[in-house]
Amino acid sequence: MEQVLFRHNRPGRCVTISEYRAGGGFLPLEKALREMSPDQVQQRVIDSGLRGRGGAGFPTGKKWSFVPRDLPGPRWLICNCDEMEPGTYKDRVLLEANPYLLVEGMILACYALGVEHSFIFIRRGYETAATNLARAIAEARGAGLLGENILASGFSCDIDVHLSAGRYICGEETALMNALEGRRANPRAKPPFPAIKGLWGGATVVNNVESLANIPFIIAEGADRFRSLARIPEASGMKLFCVSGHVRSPGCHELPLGIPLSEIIDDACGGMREGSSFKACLPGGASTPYFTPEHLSVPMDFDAVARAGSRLGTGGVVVFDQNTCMVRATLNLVRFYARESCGWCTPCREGLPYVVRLLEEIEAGRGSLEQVALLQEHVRLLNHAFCALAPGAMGPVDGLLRHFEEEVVEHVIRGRCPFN
Amino acid sequence: MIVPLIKGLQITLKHLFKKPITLMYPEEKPDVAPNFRGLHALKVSHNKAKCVACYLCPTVCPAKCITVEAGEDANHDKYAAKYEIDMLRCIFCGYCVEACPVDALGMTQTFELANYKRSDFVFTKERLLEKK
Amino acid sequence: MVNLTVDDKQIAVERDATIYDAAKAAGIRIPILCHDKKLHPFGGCRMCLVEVEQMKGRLIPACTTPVSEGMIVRTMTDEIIKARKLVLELLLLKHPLDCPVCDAAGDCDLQNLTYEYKVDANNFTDEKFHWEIDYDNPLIERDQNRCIHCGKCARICDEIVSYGAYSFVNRGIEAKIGTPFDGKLDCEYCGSCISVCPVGALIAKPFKFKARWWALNKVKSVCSYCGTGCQLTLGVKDDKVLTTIYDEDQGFHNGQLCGRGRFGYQFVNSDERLTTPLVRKNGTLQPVGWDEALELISTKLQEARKNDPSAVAALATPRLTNEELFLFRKLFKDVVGTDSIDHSAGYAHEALTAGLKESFGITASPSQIVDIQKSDLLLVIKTDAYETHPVIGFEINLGVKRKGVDLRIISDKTGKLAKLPKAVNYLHKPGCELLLVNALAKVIVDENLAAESAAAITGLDAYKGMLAGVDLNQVAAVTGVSLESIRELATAYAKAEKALILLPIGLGYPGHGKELAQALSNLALLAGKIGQEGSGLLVLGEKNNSQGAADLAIHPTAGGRDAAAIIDGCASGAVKILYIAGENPVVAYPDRAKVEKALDNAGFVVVLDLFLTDSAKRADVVLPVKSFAEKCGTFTSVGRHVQRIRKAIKAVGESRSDREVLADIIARLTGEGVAADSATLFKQIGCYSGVNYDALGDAGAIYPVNVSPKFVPVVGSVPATEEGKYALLTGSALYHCGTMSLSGVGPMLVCPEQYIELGRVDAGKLGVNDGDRLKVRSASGELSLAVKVGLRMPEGVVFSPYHFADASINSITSGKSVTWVSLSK
Repeated sequence: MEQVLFRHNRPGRCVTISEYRAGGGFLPLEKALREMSPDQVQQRVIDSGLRGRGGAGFPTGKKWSFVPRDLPGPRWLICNCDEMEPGTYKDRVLLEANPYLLVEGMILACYALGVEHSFIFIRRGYETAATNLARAIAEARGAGLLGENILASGFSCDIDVHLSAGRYICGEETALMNALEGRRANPRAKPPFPAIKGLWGGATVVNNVESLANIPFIIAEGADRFRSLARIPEASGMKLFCVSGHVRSPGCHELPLGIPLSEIIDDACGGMREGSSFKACLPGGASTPYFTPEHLSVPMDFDAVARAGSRLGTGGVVVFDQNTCMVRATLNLVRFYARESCGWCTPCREGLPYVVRLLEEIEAGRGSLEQVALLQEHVRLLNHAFCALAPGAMGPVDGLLRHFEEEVVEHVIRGRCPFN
Repeated sequence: MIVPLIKGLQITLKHLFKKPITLMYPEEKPDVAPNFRGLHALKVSHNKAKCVACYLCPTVCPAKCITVEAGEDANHDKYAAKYEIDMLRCIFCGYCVEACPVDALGMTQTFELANYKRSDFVFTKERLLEKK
Repeated sequence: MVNLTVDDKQIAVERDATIYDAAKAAGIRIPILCHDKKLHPFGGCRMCLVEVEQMKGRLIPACTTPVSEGMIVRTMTDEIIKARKLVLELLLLKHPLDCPVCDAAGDCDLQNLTYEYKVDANNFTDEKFHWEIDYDNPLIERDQNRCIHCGKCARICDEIVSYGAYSFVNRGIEAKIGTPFDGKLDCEYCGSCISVCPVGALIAKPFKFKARWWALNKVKSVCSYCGTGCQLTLGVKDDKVLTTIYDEDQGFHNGQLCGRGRFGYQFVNSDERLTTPLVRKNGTLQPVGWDEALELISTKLQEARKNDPSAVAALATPRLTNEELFLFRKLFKDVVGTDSIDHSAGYAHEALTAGLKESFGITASPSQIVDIQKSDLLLVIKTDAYETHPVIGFEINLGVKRKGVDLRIISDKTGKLAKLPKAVNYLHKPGCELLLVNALAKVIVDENLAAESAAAITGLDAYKGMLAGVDLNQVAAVTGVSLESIRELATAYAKAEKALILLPIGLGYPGHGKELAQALSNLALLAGKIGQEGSGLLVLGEKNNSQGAADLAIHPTAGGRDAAAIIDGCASGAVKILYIAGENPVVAYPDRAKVEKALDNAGFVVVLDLFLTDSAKRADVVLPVKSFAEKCGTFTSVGRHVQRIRKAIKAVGESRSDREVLADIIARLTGEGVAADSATLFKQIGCYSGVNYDALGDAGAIYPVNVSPKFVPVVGSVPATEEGKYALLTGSALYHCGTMSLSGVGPMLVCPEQYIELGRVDAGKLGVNDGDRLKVRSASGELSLAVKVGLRMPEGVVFSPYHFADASINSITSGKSVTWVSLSK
């Protein structure tokens, strides 16, 4: 299978710049700077159908196009590497194996957007990745691929790595900008959207690591080639799926978008563990509603997964077997979100701990059917929070009530957790 | 003619041996109903008046006969430094008891409130505190 | 304009309005907890959720969402009510239900909304918080348990006050409003946070448990401290002023107050207030009836009126109302026939009454307070403008932070203003303001930056001639401001389209007199900055009616004695009768020993005051007068703003207003009664003929002026320096204004005693720390003062406020802008 993001990888260690260049690395950058105008680069990314890999799946080229060309003042590109979604570790795998792809992708994005200074906002725990990136940036600068007048094209740009003090909410793009400015990481109200008024009041684009890392390939091989990598026509490109849970060999795999869920589990991960059978999975990280065995044939692409009632999210597939109590699993997830809420808005700050309490009661067998109804109501009402954290936290609860209501009711009726 | 007379005497005789309805007050005291609205009492809990000086009773009082002044105790808590009811103005409507959010005020069965001086009708906090 | 529909009403609003603004404009109320019109939108509480046709599927927060063309908004649907109820129920999960003991009850947004949305039973239950309550500071009690995380306190402290005492700390349900390092609150104590707190998490300690909100009578008035003229609402119960109440719709400042305005009201009902007239008998002041006291005064004045009117002198405080000042002038000028009347030590009003009078032909500033935010560049003389007029300081903060106003400060110290974003402080040696201002003018002339309009103004040639003699290199050497900085500032000032100069004046600033005002007027005229909106010169009078006292000419106009001469006259025996209405010359005037001697020497001294001040103690007759809360009248504040004050409580004791006293004395002297009601008197005041008293209302009125500009060359001189000594500057402390705040309780809780402030280097040299004591010796005396070490003072310069009666700094000052002192442990 053709690899886009993992093609330069060396087993057990990080690729070096010479190896990366030998494998065709930085050629797309040279090609873009020599032959293409920024608009052409942007157009090619639009044509490629590349969708943001950070969770929301918003078309990357379209996001870029929201930055007005004639807006005065500095503009910024931020690479969001605050990967804190439970079950997601693709950026770490990518950066620990090959930081150059991201550096090249960022320079290309800067070129397309007219950005002179960009940032990589990286989570505190990713120190190896940060070290790799710092080395890659220094090497790129040494090779004249970064800094003033790149490859004598007249284009200059620089990249700074910001090892954040990070929290889950820092992954929200506006909270990330606040954190980068040195403020408390609270999300900002939208509108104004970052593309108009973001970091320090300038136009800002925030892209995920994986989205940016795809760009060199798109420039090198063309938009159509990128589209054709996907398994189904409506999708485009490859995706890093990081699988964890009760499968035989969990890990991060680069697979074409549109691949059926069953293939990810059975082929890439060697199927379920001994004695385990598939009960449910989170298809795209902790904030997505569950998939059940009936969804095993769903093609894993943004729209297809959405049609099936969940979200592709980050591609972090967490698999649960038949011995998992879904109430307990959901409780564990919501606890994480309740802790990570920034405390800004009422529904998230006060509502999530309350949902945790409800789930605790139900799990402990002290729940009532009214509480189940209350839970249902919260799934709807917590959508009115300030940012996407609380609605995201309600994703698994929504899935729980939709697909495993019987199991929830069983907790209530039997007055104990049936899995104990 | 004689029949009605006997009938009348019958009634008289009957009442002669019945328990009288009138009460020889003050030698005899009446039974007062439990929900009688007599003199107010400030309820006590943990050796402290329950009143937190929220001012709801003077606010609701239609006769404006309650005077409260709040104070701050050593624990920074609110208490009634002054609590006075002017019984000459009080109409014993009981609204104050109803308004009390902390059940600190009640009305007793005491109704003998006569006194010699006007100033004696002003019941201070000490006089209002519940006797146990 | 944008057209939209809110609840079937068609509305057209400004492009930058939010849905909330639009609904408000249409009279539709959307419930809010975290929104405040003065602050940037927050969007945290989620009470203001509305439904927008174009964004179906989710509810939109009205306070953060800008309007767009054709929007169709619904503010009340079943789903909205459910969402709002959820918010309230969630908030009430943690909020303690201690309304009976919470001072906010009755004025609590959460309580009101809970009632309105009938959240009478909670579906949910949870543990309440048990945060420690901060009782440790004297004015603001913080109970985090009641907090609903609207963030208004943190936002107002950051956005408007620019102090930043609060911030959110922790995450999730543990999130709370924290102070630096989660310690005790230690800030400016302006109390803005209390005013915006929608619940009882922040309460004013002086008002704690004093009364319930609904029992208070709310009386609109004007603050009686500084010249800003902030409107305030007094909370009155049983003839006592118990608190000040926040009303976000009051005045240019939107109800915003400083610490002394908010917490300094307690002098009104102080136990120390004088209640009866006092007359000195056998050496002691003894209570007498009004008639006896007034008869005594009238007899003395009547005698003098016949024999030697010039032996009568009178000092008034610019805290009196315009009507009272009018009668004051009438009594002494017209009835008694003396020209020896003055106020504010004479020098503190010269900038207006002599300086601007000559330069502009008016005794008032040509600009107004609202010009501050409309300007492009502000040139502030001394960072003390913030300390003297804190609410004008807030306006400067807002101008700099929201409107991008370029702030330049010429100052002998640094201070809060200098810390604002991009503010430039031109730190100079003490007493060099005039030299610097002339140097700026010279640069403007040299570099041909003068405005064309300047050519038509008389006196330009003489002015230019004077400037020709200015040696820029010498100025740079003397003032300590580099030549480049002077050039850069002059160029920036001249080139700014709109530039406004702010000059604070007052008893603490002897250097800010006639000359400096004229030099600044010249500069503004030269650069063509007079006569347009957002430009000009704004002289900040010190007291609440300083502007009125200047307008009413409470100063000698026909060769009479000014304040200094009156004091000298008392000492020499030339002044036999001295009538002091509210002034406290012993404490507030320079050279205390001299003033004390003068008062002792004067034949007959009458003092009218609220308190037995140090000056009153030396009087022969002391009359108790009413405070601003007990009378009606008008004050004129900075920027010629005439506003009404209203009687809030009955007179304390037997006190009468100055107006009644003056009218009585005039009647006794002339045998004819005079009208003593404010309305009639106001209409008699000539300089306010353009103002309709009846139409003043709550907003007041700004009276118009015609500026007839003139260049009046003033030559700066190099201030004398004394080797090895420290330059002592006097001025205002942030918490105080004049000497009245000493009885205001609130200000005294945070700034209780006379102190001397010095920089870290000097403190290090002297080996002293905060709280130590230093002996301060000048040519006229010695004091032992508490030390305050800060970052404000440059090396060799020390500062002390002038307000305090005990160890008052004026016992060692000289009356010049700088007093040279030696310091020792």
